[in-house]
Amino acid sequence: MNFMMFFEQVGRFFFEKKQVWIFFSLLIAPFFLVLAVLAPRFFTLRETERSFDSAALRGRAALEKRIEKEMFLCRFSKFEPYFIDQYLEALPLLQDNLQELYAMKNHPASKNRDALAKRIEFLEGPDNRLSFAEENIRSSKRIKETEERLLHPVEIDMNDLNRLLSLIEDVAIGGYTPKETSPQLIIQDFVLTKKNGAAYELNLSLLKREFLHTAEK
Amino acid sequence: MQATGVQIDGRSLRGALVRRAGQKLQLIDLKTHEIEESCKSDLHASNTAKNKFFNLFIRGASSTLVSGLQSNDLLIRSRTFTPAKSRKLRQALILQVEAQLHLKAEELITVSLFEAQEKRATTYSTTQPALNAHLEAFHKIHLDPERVSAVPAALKAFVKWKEPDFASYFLLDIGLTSANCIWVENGLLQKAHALSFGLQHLKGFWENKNDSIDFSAIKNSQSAFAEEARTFRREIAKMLHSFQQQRPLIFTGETNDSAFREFLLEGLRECITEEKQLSCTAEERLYAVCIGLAIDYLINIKQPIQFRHGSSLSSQNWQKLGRSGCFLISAAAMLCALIYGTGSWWIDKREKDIIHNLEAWTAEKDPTLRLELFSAGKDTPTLVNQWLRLIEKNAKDYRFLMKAPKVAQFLDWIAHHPLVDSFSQTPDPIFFEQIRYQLVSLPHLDAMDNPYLVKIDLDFKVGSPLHARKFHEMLLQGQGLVDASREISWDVLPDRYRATFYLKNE
Repeated sequence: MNFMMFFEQVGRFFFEKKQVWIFFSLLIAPFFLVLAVLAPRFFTLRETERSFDSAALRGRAALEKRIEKEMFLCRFSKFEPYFIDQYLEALPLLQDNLQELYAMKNHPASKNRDALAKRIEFLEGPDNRLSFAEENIRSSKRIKETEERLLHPVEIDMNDLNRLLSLIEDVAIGGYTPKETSPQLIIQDFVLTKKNGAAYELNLSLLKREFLHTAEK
Repeated sequence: MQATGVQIDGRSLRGALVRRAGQKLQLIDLKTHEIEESCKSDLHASNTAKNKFFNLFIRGASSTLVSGLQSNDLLIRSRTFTPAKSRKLRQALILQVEAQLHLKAEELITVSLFEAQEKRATTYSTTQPALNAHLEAFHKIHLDPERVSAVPAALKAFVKWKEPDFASYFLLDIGLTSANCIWVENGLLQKAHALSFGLQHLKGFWENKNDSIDFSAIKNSQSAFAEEARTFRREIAKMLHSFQQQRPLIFTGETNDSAFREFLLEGLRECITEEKQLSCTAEERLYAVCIGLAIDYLINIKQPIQFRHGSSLSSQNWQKLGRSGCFLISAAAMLCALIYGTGSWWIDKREKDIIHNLEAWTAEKDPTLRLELFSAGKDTPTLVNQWLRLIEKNAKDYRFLMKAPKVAQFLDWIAHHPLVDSFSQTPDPIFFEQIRYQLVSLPHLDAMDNPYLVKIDLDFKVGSPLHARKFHEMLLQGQGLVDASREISWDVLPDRYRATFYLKNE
């Protein structure tokens, strides 16, 4: 009986005196509540799924790039501090030409011995040696950058050029192989001018990067 | 489906229980309960009377209590329509009827009953006070009819049930305290009138209160009873005259006494063609209103006449509405709980799938990343976003990795270019006089975001202008390392050509 009275009161409350809106509000409120709770979760899930798909697609390329970066840092973090002095500046140039000049000078029929001696002196002297001057040194905690500029142009032949580029650019060219202890050397300015015969005049400017211990992020 | 038609007639509470099974109507029971005066004021007594009344019937849970308004509380209009019934037509009809009644709109209650096959509609109008008075009479004996219909409609339904072929007739239902008179033409209720007194009124003038009334002795009597009976007959005749037609007359109610019917017919000859007898028992005739109310409700179950609207609804109807409301709200809440549960389970499952896939991916491709990602408990979106951030971070080229072509690469490309090779096969080869490789832009510690950009100045000699033009065209086409999207300049110097262009990055 009490239930009947309860239902009667509920019926009157909901459907009497234009209070039907309360009934319909209560009827649809749970749906809105569920919608309000589930919709953000659903859209977050959709976004997460999209992110996952996108990440999975880009993951392989990113992994390859990361490995490449790690290998790069591993390669260039073990460098010799005086690499330029030891390997580039000590590089003898135009050796084939020098041998020819010596042969010509020592030949009994040679007429221009003075000129040949002067030429040999130039080639063996400091005027035709790579000599770099350091400029614009920039450094951070883990990287040091130095611009290295040739003090004067030098004369080289094709062999010298290949050897030089192999050492500077860390690539194997013909029979010349790079040194594993070189710092990162980037050619900023390279001018190669043809001279007489097989000789070329080279002017060069480098950027040397030294990676200290671990890489800059 | 069951319905109980109830009628208060003086101190008699009559009831008829009718059951409908398919199209078949079955009269279950007919009962009368005498209402004691004390019942009307004494709540306990009233409840007792109510219980007694209901105990008379085997009332199932589905039985609906139906009462009816007397003809004098009703205004009936019948219309014929061309269009089929519709909700809008019903509303328009009710509006039109109410506008024509010149009564207070807020007090008017109008219902319409469509008979679709004949495209006819009958409207029943009453007033709120009349309905309240009717309900009050039942409330005094603690009865609350769920449906309040109309006595004329009930009488018509009764005749249709008993004699479906009767289409046009007058019907006179005489009760103890009232007399209802209706006119049905071609099955459509045309008019209805009622007198507010009946046999009980006449009994007050009967000399011998203990005996039943003998109408055969009235004929030449000048007694007060005889005069009153003739007045009663004249009032009935007035009602029939007002119909301005002559039709067969059917008697129902307290008219089982043939002498009473003869007495009435004697004064009504001019108004009727004949008396029609229904093939029903005397008891059914007495309970015609109650039976008719129950039948009318059961036949027109989809659109029964119901004057109880809005706040006038019965307790049972409020209870039904309350039950339905509670059920719907509970069902909605349960459905929502189900949706929430299913939705949450589905979302959790998808998130677990993502985590599982991420674990599998990182375990296979990048175990260090797996350790970094799963080191602390994180929710799925955070985990995936962190993974995406790490990937985006790694996806960027490391700025200190040289992306521009190196000098060796450029020299190798230009020395072995097919065009240069083809020139070498001719008497007019190309001679490079000067090559300048300039890294005009590169990232460094002071400008980390600078791109790598290489500019080439190429001085060369070639005898044939055709060869020079071909070489120029090759540069313009952007073949190999040349970046055709950037400026390519071409100068003709006195003894050589000079080309200036930029190289594409890897």
